[in-house]
Amino acid sequence: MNRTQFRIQSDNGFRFLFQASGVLCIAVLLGIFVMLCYNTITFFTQISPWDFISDSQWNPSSSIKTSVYGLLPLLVSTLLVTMGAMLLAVPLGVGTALFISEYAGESVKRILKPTVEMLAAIPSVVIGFLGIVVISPAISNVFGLPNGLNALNGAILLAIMALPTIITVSEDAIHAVPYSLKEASLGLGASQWQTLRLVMLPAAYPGIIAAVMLGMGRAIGETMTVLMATGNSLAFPKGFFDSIRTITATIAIEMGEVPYQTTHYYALFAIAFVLFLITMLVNILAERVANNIRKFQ
Amino acid sequence: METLITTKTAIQISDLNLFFDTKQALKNINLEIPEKKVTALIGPSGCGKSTLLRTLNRMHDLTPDVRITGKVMVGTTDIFDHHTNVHLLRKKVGMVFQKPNPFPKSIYENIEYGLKINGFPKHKIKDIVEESLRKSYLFDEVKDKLNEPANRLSGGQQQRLCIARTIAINPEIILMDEPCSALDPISTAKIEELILELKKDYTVVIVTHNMQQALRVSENTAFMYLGELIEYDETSVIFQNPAQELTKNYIGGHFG
Ligand SMILES: Nc1ncnc2c1ncn2[C@@H]1O[C@H](COP(=O)(O)OP(=O)(O)O)[C@@H](O)[C@H]1O
Ligand SMILES: [Mg+2]
Repeated sequence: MNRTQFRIQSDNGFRFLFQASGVLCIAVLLGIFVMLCYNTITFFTQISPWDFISDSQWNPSSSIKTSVYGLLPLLVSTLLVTMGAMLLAVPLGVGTALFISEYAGESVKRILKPTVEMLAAIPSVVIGFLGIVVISPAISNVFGLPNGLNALNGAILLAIMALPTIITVSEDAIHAVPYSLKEASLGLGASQWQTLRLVMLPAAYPGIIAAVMLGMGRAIGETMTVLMATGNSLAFPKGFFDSIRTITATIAIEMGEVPYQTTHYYALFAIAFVLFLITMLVNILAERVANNIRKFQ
Repeated sequence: METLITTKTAIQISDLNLFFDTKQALKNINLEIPEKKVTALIGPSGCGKSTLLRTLNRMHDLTPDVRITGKVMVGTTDIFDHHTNVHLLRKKVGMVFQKPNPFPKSIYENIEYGLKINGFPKHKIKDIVEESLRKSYLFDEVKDKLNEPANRLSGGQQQRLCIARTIAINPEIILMDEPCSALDPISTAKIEELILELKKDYTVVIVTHNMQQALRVSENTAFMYLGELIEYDETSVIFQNPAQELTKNYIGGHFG
């Protein structure tokens, strides 16, 4: 009798605990969102949204007269370095995932998989360091540039950072394709490569999209590495050999020095809000694509 | 046995042994499968029916630690010969699996796939898709939804699609591993009807757990037990007057 009562009570207790942690999550999320929105709206009462979108310069200064808060250079920087990273990381990551799940022998797999996971454990500062001392000099040597701290450098580093996620999640997705599909394809006379390309990969597509999006999310939001490795120039970027300054780096650099409740302060929230929108858009798009493909499965 | 001798041989299996690692799954199998007839493989679960069937199109290539000795001739091709192209072999020896396994693509693409990878001319693909759907009695049921996902079809329809996909690339031999075991009686009847139609053009080897099915569709039946081929004869003989006591017991339902 007592035991039963105790069990019911502890049951209720745990349920309350889990409920509370769930509510806390939502509250934190909502709080962040509200704060972002509030500050962004305040910013737009001082600077017109049109100027924010169309100005090709980000140049805050103490006087509101001389300040320019143009989103474009930061946005283009962010997109440039992210796309560059994805161009490198997606083929490499999906290829590695294919190799691990389809070609590698047991012993190779036993080494490769933990290695990939270790890669994810490297702190971003260390990756940024690597960028400054190894990759950036290499870039300036290979391409004959005076300075290797540019978008390409950032893209390579972000690719390295996105790789573990892309590899691990893609590999799971490829691994989850039913063996019977592989048999069906090979049974029709297909080669292993045809089977991979035309059956396994399409079947694993939703998972691979998820993998790419997760990797991209990491790349877009990454701060420390790009801050260290891309030179942070405020000039409008024209290509991969230009120094850039991403949204994240801008916030990190300027947030520490900006006086509170100033236009500049609110502006940083506004670009953070843009970052938030991009990440959300990426996620929604990914979900859409994945659902479309899932219809066939 | 006379019919076996007078008709041409599609598959000749000689002294075939197969080991999974150290476990022997097939023991000294000798079997001659005649052309354009249905040959049934029966026997209790785990006796090696699937293993034997999958040997015939070298599906075991995928499994690590398989060792095979002996010889299998498909037509004039020694399938284990180094020079034998396994992709051409599998095109010639098609396979329908126990569980319907359509690709996660549209109905049309499911059939188109085999044609594409085997290099059929593009302009012929559409006609071949339609023809193979007709041959597998599926066309009327799906003609308005060729671009819909194949997984929306019922299990029986999916299995007929798998058969259509197999015959589309024009094999000589079709291997079927318990093709009806996942299907309801009506779908099963349709597939059996289809098998009877298929043997006009193809050699069919079917593994079945269902004795009545072997009786209905096959000319010849091989009875296997613990990796050995116990008896092989015309189906009517196997079912009415088997030579081996073991066969008699199995047919009589005393084990299995
Ligand atoms: N990939 C495999 N590895 C090891 N043993 C296997 C494998 N496939 C089948 N076997 C074994 O070989 C024997 C024959 O199996 P199978 O041919 O599937 O039997 P059946 O189809 O007659 O039910 C069984 O004992 C089974 O456990
Ligand atoms: Mg079986």
